[in-house]
Amino acid sequence: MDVFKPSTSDELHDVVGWALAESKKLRIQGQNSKSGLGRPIEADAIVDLSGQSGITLYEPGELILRAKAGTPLQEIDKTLTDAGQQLAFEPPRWGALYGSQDGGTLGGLVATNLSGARRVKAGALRDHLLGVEAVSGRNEAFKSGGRVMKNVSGYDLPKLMAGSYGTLGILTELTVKVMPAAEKVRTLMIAGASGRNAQALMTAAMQSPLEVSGAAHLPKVTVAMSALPEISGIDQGLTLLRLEGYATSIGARVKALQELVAQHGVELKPLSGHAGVTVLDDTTSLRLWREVSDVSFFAKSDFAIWRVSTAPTHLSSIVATVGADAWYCDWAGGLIWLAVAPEGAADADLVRQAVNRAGGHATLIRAPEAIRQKVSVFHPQNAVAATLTQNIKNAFDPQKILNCGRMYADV
Amino acid sequence: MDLPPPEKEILDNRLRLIRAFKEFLPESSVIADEPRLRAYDCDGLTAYRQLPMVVVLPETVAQVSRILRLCHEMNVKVVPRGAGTGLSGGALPLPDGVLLGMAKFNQIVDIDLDNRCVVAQPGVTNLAITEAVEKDGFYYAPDPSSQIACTIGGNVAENSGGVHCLKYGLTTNNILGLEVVLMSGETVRLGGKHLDADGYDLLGLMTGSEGLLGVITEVTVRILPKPTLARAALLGFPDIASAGQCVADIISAGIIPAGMELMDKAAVSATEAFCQPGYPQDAEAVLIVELDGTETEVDALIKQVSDIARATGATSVRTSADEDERLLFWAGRKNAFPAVGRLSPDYMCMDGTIPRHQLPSVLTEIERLSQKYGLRVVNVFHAGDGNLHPLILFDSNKPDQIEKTEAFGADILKLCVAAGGVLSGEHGIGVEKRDLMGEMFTDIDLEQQQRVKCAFDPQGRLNPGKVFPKLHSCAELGKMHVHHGKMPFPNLPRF
Repeated sequence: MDVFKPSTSDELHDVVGWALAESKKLRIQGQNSKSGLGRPIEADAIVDLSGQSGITLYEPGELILRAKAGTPLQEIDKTLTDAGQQLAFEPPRWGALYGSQDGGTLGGLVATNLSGARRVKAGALRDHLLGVEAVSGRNEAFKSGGRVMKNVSGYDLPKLMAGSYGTLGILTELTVKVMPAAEKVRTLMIAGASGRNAQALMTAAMQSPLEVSGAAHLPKVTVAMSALPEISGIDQGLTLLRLEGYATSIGARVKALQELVAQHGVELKPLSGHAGVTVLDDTTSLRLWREVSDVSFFAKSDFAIWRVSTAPTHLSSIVATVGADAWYCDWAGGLIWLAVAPEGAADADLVRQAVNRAGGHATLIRAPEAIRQKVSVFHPQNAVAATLTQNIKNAFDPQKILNCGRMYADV
Repeated sequence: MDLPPPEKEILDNRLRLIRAFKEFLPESSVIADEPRLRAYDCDGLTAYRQLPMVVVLPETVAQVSRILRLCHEMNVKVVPRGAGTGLSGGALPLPDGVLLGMAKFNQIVDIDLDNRCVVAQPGVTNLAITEAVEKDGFYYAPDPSSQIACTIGGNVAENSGGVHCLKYGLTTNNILGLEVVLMSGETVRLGGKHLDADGYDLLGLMTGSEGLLGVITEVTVRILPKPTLARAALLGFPDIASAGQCVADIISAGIIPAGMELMDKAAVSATEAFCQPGYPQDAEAVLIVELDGTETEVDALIKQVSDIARATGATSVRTSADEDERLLFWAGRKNAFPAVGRLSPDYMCMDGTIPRHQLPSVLTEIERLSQKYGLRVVNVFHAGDGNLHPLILFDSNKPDQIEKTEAFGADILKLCVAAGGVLSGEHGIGVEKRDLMGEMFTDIDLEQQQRVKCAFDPQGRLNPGKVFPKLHSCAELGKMHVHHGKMPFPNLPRF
């Protein structure tokens, strides 16, 4: 297969022009770190954007960063960290799920709209994407949004481009909002709270004014899959509540959160045996929440992996219905990760029925290609939504040359 | 400002349309007589008025759907309207259009504290959502100044902001789900009570689409736990530049305040006369910085902010000691618009956003323009997020003043765009800024946006004449010229 690696916008237009003229299908990629995400597609050529790289504008005082789509996330992370800032939506690195060592590019991250554990407090990637420049399937360069936080000037096409998996345009340059990084991170790790009790703890934490920036629960089977020895050795389910903020006040917030947990019948004794509460320091917190956001627990296994977004209170019914081999939840119960055997239809009917009853959607994040070919990877749409999706595809890419089929058949 | 010319065929069908509406709508839901139509002839942008052809006020989603289907079939234009508080003329009627008022959709459908969301009909006011959950310790974050009157449906249509956007985001960052009726009459649900809708982000696209893509019939919003404590600092500066520096230094110190509002001297003296908030009268610029969170945190931060203010040259620094004093600090800012209303028979509120560091130069240029046009201007500024609201004072009874004000306003917005900003931060484009879209976007950009409109409303019947300076047919927009048989690009690197 031809691989085009345009290094200028003229070259990119040449590639798209060629594809249009010759009716060729293009597959768009950055570092190809998420190759197994989405439906398998047939393409005639690959557009490799890794040559279009670099931070083009960074103004820490204005809280914005602009970079070319092929810029490695690693580079953006380093630049932000050096200035005491971060991408607040906590971009997950899913490379390991698909056997890649790479951390991905900004363009790839935007195209998939991935957000990590802090999404419950800080919002999703799409909430931090201020402006996009892209080339449509009509081979036209267009822009939307801008470099300012508040903007209602025309349709919010950055939102539409975020999570469109490259099916609407080839992203070329992106402007994102950045935020100060927290001085301190603490995690309240509660062992032995299971089922409804864990759910109640997460709900109470999120309902409190303590600005909890992460709420997750790992059952015992998943705890054992942690790469952190101090975690994997705990023979209990773990409920994790994270606080981030200023050094001057984090101690008081930890104390208040402990009191809240105690009100829910959790004894505040240190972890030993089957129960207890531990406060994790910055280092362990960072590593553990990295695992939560990156789905690291399941990376080394060959499980098929489902990602379910639902209203948090449906957690237990969905987990019970599916009966997965392993699971955990993030976003206070609103994001459920289910690991099932990579066979047959990977329990697609079971998962989808449970989610349809609860409301929300389920995406088959990882599975062998044969399964992703026969199962809807993204949640099936109703007729009206499917028509809108098709119409929007047509508005950007009428000849369907861009990543066609990556989300839905013929889109 | 021109609206699309009335279509004779539609006007000829007026009576037939009204009869058809009355077949499925209650008598009180169809308004067709001029005195009562008069109440709907403008929104918050009162400089432009137009009688609608007919007003309908449906009560159910089924009625909305039937109204739209009927209009679709009869090729009639529809203008959706919430409370009519919008400031850009997005709900300005069309002479050959049905005005679809959503005021009767005024019920809160569901309060779900465990999932931290509220489901509301679109005609519920912004403030009513907070009022419904505040006894339980929650609130809805976006708080536009018109929050007593403006509705959540209108907030979604305009992606409304408020004074807390830097920390808590705009409407688009605070809604989870929508029910929308398309121009075809079909209903679609986007998102729900869960985070991140599936598929293309139509929820995000619909927010801020100014009533051009669909009619919102239900909104699910995210609610937040009320912070334990909020305190404000009231800071006076000898010039705008040092106030701007203070804002930059606060953010550079890693602090994201809940609100940061800047007023120039004219705004300060107007508000002092209006409601005596006790602002420093010798200051050229007054900055309000609000911190919220837990008690220890807020107390530490407010001290840090005060120190930064002194270091950047503040001539007066006061911090609120209790809730009453905090509210007093805000009283001036929240009443800035009515206060300015006392200075002048009319004013027009502009709404550009600029990169924050451009503030001193933009305000200097606005002052120069003010002298050029001979019109006074008062500036209030959401300093945290760069959203500037110059209020141009004028008298519509004096000859040429409206035209001059429009020209002055257009120059201000061009200035914002030239400074790296945008035409509208939170009020929308509507008809007001429609003809300036070319300042910010190329023809290709605008055509791509209009193709998105075609995906929802291929006949262009929903709120035409708003947002886009030129109307194109969808067939015209869909054309594409492909040069076949051309050999590709010998220079292109292949691997």
